[in-house]
Amino acid sequence: MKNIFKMLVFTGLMAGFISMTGCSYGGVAGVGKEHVVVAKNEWFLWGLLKKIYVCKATPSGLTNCKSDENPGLIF
Amino acid sequence: MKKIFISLISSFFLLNSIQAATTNSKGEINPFPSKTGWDLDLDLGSTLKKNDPQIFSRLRIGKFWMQEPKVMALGIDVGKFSNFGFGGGAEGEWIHLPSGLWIQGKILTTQNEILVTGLSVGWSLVGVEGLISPLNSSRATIYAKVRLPLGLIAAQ
Repeated sequence: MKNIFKMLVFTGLMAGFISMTGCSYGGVAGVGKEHVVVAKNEWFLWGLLKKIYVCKATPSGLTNCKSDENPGLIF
Repeated sequence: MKKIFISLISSFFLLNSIQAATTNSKGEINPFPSKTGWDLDLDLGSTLKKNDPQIFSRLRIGKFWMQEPKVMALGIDVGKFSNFGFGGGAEGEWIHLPSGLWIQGKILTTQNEILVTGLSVGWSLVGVEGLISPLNSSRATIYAKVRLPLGLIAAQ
């Protein structure tokens, strides 16, 4: 019982740590002058929820990310 | 001490899941679009006792808020809670999509106990859950469970 409780606490702490520090990008590629394509990986459902986003790159970071877009219509 | 810890953590995740996350860890606006939808989550599990395993199934119906890299969900949880009997209550969940780790907190009332709090942690579709009755020092139990996030799957 004690070991299970320790395992619960450890897993919770790991989840908190990952949420604060983890980078969740699966891949980033520049397309055109202003846009990047960002692939987001996920291990929750082994990729079933994976999304590909097209984002605008600015000096302050990514903005206006969209999914389900046809990149050909953006660039 | 253990009971107080689990109760506090359970309440935290329950309340935290009420608000959809729209900012990242630095407080900046998240550039990724958010998505909301109906949440339907099916739990199948068993107690860890070898001699007397008790199978249970439960259903959570509510709403989810998804914004990279997190999903938060809040809903009504109904079903059987092993030796606590049939019951229902509120459950909140926080999922970290890239790692697959998730945490659930819940507050319930059941046939045998007026107040039960629970905390679950897991990865992907499997996890463990601890349920305790803060008003009854002798009531605590641990489960192993498989969860099927039907609402999230259907929303894709």
